[in-house]
Amino acid sequence: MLKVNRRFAIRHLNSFFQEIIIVILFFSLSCAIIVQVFAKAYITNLETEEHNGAVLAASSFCEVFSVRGSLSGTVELLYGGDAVKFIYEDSVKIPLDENFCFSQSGSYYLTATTRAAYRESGNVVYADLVIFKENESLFEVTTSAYQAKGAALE
Amino acid sequence: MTKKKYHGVGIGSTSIIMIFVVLCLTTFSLLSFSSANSGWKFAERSSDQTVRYFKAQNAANDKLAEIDAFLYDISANEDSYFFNMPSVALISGVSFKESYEYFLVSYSVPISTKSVLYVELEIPFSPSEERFVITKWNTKAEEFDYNDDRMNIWDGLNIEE
Repeated sequence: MLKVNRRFAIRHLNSFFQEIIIVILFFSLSCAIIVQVFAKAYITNLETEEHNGAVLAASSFCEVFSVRGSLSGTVELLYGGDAVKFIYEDSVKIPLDENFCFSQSGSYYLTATTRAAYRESGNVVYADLVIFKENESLFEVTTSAYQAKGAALE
Repeated sequence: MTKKKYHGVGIGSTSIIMIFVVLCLTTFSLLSFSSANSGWKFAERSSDQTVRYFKAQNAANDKLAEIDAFLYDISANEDSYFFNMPSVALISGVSFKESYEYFLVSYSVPISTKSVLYVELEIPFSPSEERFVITKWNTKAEEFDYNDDRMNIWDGLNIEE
């Protein structure tokens, strides 16, 4: 009788271990897929945060530019006097940190290039703005400002 | 004869627990992915709207330059300035009004199907150094153009004898 019970217990233990092995295999396979989904969600969140930051930085620049109408005025107001040295003629390349604030060496860059449509009465100045990270463009927009000239009075 | 009972974790209980855990993890992961994805879509929509707004602003500035060029031209002759002013309405999309103190010129540029960028300018009656003052530069909801398709039915009046 004891022999029979012992045989039953061994058989029971064997099937228990078999089940555990199958469960572990299935669980590890499921986890591999689930972790990928979690990772994708996390990366999407990071990209969204990055995109929102880039849009916010670009729209701030555009708003100020549409009032000031010049690169130097816009850069000085937004990023302070230190950032003005990054202006080269009609373009600017400003390094930004991970919070999209001005820093001397940043991982993000804001570039703006101005061009103008000249008329006798005034100029429309356009600024083509790109925010990028390691040569990958995050957000692009073009803004403009109208600068009227003095009246042609007799 | 005493029967010995086997006490321990039954076969199948680990599978059931595992299935429950996997289902929970799958649900949470899908929920977090769905939330992240909707956040990304919202951010994209928001950035598209920003781009559309600045495109409309550029178009509004182009139109402003066109109007200012017209004002610049007519301000050269002070005598005909007042009479030439209504011709500003010939510029496409520009409407013209005359108030007690100044001319009112307005135009709107579409941002999306639901909103427009509305611009209003005040222009003095006589040519001056400041040719115009921007009084409004704001987004407005698109005004619906309701078709007047009412049937011409008898209103109960004007009975012909």
